[in-house]
Amino acid sequence: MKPRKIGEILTKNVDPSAIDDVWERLDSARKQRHQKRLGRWAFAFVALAALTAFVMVSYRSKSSHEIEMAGALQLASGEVLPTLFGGEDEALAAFDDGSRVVLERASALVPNTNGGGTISFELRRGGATFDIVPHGPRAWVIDAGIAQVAVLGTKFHVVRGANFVHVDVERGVVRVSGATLPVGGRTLTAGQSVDVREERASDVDPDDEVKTLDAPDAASNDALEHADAGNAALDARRTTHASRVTNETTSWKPLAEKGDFGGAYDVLGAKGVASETNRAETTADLLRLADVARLSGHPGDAVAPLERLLAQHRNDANASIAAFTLGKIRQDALGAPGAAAKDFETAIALGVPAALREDAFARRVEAYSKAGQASSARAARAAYEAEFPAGRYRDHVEEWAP
Amino acid sequence: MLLLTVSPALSRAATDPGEDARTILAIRAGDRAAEERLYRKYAPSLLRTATRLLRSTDDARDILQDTFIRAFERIGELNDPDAVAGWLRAICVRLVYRRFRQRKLLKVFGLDRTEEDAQLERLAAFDVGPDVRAELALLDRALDTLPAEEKVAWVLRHVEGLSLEEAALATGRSLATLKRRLSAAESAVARFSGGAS
Repeated sequence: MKPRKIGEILTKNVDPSAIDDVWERLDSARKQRHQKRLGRWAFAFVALAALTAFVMVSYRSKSSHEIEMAGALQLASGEVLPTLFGGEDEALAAFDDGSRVVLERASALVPNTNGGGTISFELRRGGATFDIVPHGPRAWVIDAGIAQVAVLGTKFHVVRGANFVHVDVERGVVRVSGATLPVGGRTLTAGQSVDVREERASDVDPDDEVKTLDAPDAASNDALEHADAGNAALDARRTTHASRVTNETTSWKPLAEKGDFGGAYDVLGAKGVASETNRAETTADLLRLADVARLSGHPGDAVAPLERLLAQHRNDANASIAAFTLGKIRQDALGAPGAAAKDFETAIALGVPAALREDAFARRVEAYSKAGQASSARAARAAYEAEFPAGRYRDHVEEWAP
Repeated sequence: MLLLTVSPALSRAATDPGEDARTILAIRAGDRAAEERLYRKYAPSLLRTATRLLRSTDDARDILQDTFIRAFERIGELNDPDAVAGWLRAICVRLVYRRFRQRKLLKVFGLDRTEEDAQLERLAAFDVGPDVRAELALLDRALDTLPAEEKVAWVLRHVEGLSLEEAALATGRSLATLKRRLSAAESAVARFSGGAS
């Protein structure tokens, strides 16, 4: 049998219906392919946009997310955080998140809140340099009595003296708040520093107060060598002190300075706030009384000291802050937006500090809007937009004064 | 004794040398009828080639459709309109390669549902005797053992009857590569045929 080529023995016929079918569906297949391509591009674009958004949101929320997840801070060795002391020389403490603290000689650093994404220390005496890992999982707060330092990640130095606190920043940003600082505190960046000094009222001997409450004597220094015993000793002294006090003017201020506004209001009561308002000689006292009232949950009682400050110390540097605070109270707590709008007008006219300026402009729009004064609200919106063309409340003011 | 030979050179229909060039120019000008002329002229041979390579009539139809979709999309890239036959075949073979890769991937996951209904044995002409069909079946089994690249080279050369140059052009490989793959495929087929017989 003669060999045959493979191609010759295979059928050359193809199904004509297959040729027709493919031709007939070719047009729709081309359109589908075109749409699929567009879809792919659209998908790629959306995916890229989503990825970009995710990365940005993740980056921005990283700190707060980690704060939620963070547990208690421990020493790098894994031990529970003890009270830290600087002995004869400097002492170094390293933590499990990579942060470090160098305690100066004879300093004492007591951990307070430790968990839930926050670690707070009380610097009872001396000085310490904090080197906190940036973008770490916890918010750090250092309480130095008359000043508090809040920070997320940075390197800074805090010294607590008998009646002053000094804070200087080497790297990053911290926010220092204290009785003698503007409402909302003061932000320090690298190279900046602040000294917070205790104010002295004429009828109080602040040195006694500081000595008694904040500057442990030799005996209490010994007590601090053992944290629990030290804390108990201080608490006992505070109790003794409180029971000793008979004059409210000598008891509410230290509590307020320590941030115990509830305790200070318990001592004063509404009548006490009113009488202290009449007796107050400095704007700082009036602001502090207002803080005691509003931060203890009695915002209505804060109106009188702020109004007096505005009436009698209008040229004082604190007047604009008082007006702003008054506006906030009337707007947020007392449901009096019309009066609040006037307060914000006053605050702006008196030259509210830069840190509060945008808030004052925006709140003025909101207050006029809620008071039903549409034309004033629109004028206030125009002023806001002119002053802060890329402001963070831009969307809100558009809503309040369309 | 082998009843089949694998020598090349199947005759191809002679065409008017200027016909394809005119059709291509008309297509580029947006002439829908010219598109259909080109399709009707080359679709049968491309469908046949795709069927013989893939051994699946369904897959072959898909490949034919995709070949012309791509061809019409890229008709502007065709430098020599008279070479349209080889150009279309090259597109078709590239899509066949892609289908082989898809099948391989699906096979890895146990998802390959390809129905091979067009092996050489089944494509035999009506008058082919059972002994030749048996040899074609043997060839089918031999081709099953080959990698896709070698299988395609062998089928283009010995079933489609392309010259070495035409097969190299269709596969997008150099002549030397084509020859190497062809040689490997021929050796494997010969071993298989000899072992089986």
